[in-house]
Amino acid sequence: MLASDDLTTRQAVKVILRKYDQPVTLVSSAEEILHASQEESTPQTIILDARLAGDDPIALLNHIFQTYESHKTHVFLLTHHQNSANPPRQIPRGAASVTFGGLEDLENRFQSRSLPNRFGNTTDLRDVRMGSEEEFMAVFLHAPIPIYLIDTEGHVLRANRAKNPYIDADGTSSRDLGYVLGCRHGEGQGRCGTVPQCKRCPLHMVIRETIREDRCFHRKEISLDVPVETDPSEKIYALASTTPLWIDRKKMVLLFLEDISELRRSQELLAEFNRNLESLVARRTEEVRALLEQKKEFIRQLGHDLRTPLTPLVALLPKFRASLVDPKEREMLELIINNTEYINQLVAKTLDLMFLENQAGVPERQTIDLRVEINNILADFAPVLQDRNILAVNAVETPVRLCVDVLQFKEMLLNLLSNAVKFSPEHGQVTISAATNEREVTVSVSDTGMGMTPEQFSRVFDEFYKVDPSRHDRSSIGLGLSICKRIVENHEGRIWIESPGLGKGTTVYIALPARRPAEVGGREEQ
Amino acid sequence: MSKQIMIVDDDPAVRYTVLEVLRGADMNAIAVDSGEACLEELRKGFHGVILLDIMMPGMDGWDTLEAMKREGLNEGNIVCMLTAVISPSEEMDSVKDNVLDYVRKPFDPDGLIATAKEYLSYLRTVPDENE
Repeated sequence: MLASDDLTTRQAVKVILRKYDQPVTLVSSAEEILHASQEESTPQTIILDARLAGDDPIALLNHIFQTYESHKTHVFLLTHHQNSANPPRQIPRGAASVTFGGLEDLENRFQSRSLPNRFGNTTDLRDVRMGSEEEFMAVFLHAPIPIYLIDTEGHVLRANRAKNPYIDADGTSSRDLGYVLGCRHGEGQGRCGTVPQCKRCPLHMVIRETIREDRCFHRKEISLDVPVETDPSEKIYALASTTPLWIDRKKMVLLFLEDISELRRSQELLAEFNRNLESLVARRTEEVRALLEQKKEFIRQLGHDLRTPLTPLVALLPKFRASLVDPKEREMLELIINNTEYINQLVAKTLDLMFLENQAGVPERQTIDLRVEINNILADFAPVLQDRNILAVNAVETPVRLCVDVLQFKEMLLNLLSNAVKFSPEHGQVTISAATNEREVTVSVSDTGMGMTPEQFSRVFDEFYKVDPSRHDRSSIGLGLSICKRIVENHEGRIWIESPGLGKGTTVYIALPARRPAEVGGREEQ
Repeated sequence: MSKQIMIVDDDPAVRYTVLEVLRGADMNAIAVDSGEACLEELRKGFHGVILLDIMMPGMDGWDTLEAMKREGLNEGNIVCMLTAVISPSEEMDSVKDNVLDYVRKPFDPDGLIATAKEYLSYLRTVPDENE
């Protein structure tokens, strides 16, 4: 039925209806719509010109729904607003069976066969042909989610049987929703709204809200006081989706109730697990921190306890050199002094490494000239170099500026040079070079000594590693390169070793950032 | 003033060693075994270089230094920390705070002699500068 008094509108709608082969009855006033019910069979759709509805469309719609069976008749309120996507706000009641829109929307609806649409504007019936009530009931009854049609008193009129033993085979019921769901309250009868708990019942509230506010497709997560088979004290968590409906001129609520208890319990378990994990990590971190502190204190104490008794040994033993004349005794004394010095060095280097490890970053940086530092250190080494006939070359020919902790950097150079000299043969050569690019300054210390195998490259930085597997070498502590590595890392640099093979010499490379990282960062920001 | 170097250390072997090394170099030195004894010597009028151990039971080296400052006993004297345990940060703090230097245990005897001689030479000029 098309209800409009405007000729242009009638023509336009008729064109659309003809296109989709829809028979139409024309009326031109509000009264005619209502009168037509006595004469004609119930129209499937009433296309109502909003202008005909006048100032009070709600009143007219209510009249229409009282006259026609709302579950069989759909009203399309044809609006003339420019933006038909914003329907008049004042028409909320009976929204489930009223659609708004302009001519274009009307055509779209026919095109997509979604008229009549008694469940509002999302039920898409394109692929389901509602040939008969039996077919519809089959779909309804076999839907996998529990669906309930409830009246305003909370009686279940129809329900599908998904997970519900209280529903008859034909989907009808005369029970209360509480009874159907097996509610714990309701005086053992499951009568909704009869006991104080009902006031706080979230499902009750959702249904009330839906009725009161006419909220379509209202979704809310709720917990229900209904017994659970596995544990009667457990609650059911459900996702309640509701929508109001007008059926036989009565207001109803269609309720979809999805049990999400498993999901909720999994979420809770996961949350609990995460909480436990956090506290476990915190506990373990604290344990590790305590152990590190303990290690630090242990080394500190050990350092003290080893160095104190070493004091008289280191200071007094050399005094006997002058007094001993017997060559045999002098040899024994030298052995004792050398071994004492070895223990002394071992303790000193171990403590050095410990201090470096406990230090985050570099305490104090100064700009130095690499060329000058190398010359200074080579001067210190002069007696040893001369003694062993080793030629040391400073191949850094131009000033190379580095911003480093001077003490740490000198210690590193000292260690590298000691190693190079130690492993060089008589008449060997030690070369210190530098290469710079925009990002890094790479310093290398090469010798013409015993060389290394690739397997040894990675191990030489390990603490207490010695190239000599018998460990008889008293001239080496096995911590020099570990200390170097730590110093380089404190300066955000890299250290690595290269060697063409055994007997072919070794080169240690150190790459340090050309500038302090903060300065580089500052430049990049500009 | 004849006694010019005082070693403060709870370890008898260290005290013996320091005295031996310094006396071997013809220097005047005395030894005490605690911070309290050190303060006592200072109250009695000791003037010179103090080699002060840090890790001592009861009153440690830092406590002793604090007490010296409270009583004004450090004035005109040179304090040099003698220690087996010291981290670089502590070293720096101590140098800033009325301590002229530190000597690590175990020490090289010739190095200790050189250090002691150097500070003794300062000592003679320090009071003049202060006045």
